Amino acid sequence: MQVYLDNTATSWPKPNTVVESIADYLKNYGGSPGRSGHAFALKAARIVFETRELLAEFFNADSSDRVIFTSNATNASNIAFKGILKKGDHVITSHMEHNSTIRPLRNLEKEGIIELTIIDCDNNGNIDFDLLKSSFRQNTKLVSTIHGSNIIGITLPIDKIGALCKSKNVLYHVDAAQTAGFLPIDVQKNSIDILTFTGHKKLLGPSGTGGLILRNNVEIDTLIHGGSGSKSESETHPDFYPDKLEAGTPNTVGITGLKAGIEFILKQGQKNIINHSRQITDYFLDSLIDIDEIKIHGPGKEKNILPVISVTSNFFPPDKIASILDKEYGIMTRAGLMCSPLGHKALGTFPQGTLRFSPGFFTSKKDIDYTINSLKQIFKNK
Amino acid sequence: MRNKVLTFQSTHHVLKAEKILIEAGFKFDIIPTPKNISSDCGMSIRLDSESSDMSFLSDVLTYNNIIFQIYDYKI
Repeated sequence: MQVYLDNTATSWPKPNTVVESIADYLKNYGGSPGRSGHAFALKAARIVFETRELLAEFFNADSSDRVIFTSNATNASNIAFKGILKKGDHVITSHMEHNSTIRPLRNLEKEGIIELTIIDCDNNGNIDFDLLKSSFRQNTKLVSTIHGSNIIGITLPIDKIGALCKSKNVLYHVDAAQTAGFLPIDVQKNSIDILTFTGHKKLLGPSGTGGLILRNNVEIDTLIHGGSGSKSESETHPDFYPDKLEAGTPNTVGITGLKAGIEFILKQGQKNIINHSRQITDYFLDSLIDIDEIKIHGPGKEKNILPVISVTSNFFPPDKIASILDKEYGIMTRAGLMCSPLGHKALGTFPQGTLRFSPGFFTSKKDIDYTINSLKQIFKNK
Repeated sequence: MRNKVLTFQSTHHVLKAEKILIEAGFKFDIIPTPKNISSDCGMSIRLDSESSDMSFLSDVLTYNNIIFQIYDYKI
């Protein structure tokens, strides 16, 4: 038996329609979008266009030309940080961030470009909102927070933080790598100026897809210049979106899959997906409580909104349990720091990290039962 | 006779214009931008200015923040 419980890293399996749409593009019309006017190029361009329109509607963007495709969430956030922040700017972020936010910001700090404040979170992942409120300075340009943690199933109050940023006239960037496609996100209602999303997790698309949603008030300088299929007579890169931030041939094959992923979610209904996930996650948490050797981290069932469960044990380190689960039982999980050292420091699980179970849309109760029984056997033999 | 060519900033904007103009009831073709027109991107919209309400067309595209230029179509 094989059980995949690493959907926080990347979702698997993908809906059949995702696989089919990718094969269809490669087999039947694999042209380069925007590079010619022939039938294949036009069909490919339409797929990219329609995916932008879908994403714009999905996140309530101001306009679909402000949906920017990148190769992943890390690339998207880097483009945003490095294209917006200038010397002397102050940035506020949180202790729950992934390295995709912390590392580019620490690098900008090290180069003497920005001042950085990192707001504490408690061991349940709650951000110190009063501290956040008092951390704004005259030169604060940007607040950047994660939406949903990749360690425990909590979310940060993006609504509240967005409203605060709006009142201070400071840009708000949200890293929605774990939530985009799962929890409803409305960039206008949530006062988000820049949203980073990835295509291969909760949007159920293939890896190599992701991007940014930019509000109309956001200007980003491009890091990459090159071919865009537009203004070809000019030796300088165009300054209009999306071309400004998308030099080079786009990942059309990935974007066709991403489109099918979003359509799958819309067909199933986000509410149904959340309900299924909630049932599976609650069932998993309830079953784990029976195993005395395991400690569950995080704020408990009520606030465990995302299908992410982190555990530790006094008997084996996380990587040892993950290895036995994989090699002897075919259960795939993740152990360690999950690219989030600060988050583990906040939770008190640094440097060993945790063992993380992340079920997905296709995980069944049978998969959970098998995992729980396997864990029981491992601890019986301890 | 489809005698006018509309050019746009990028492929995205051609396709956005296509969507908007279809919804607004216009009849037109998508063509590779003719070589004699200083092109902004590889594709353009070609339509007949006699049977199309060009003032409405201009309004509906401008309302949707689409930047465009109109050229005569010459063979």
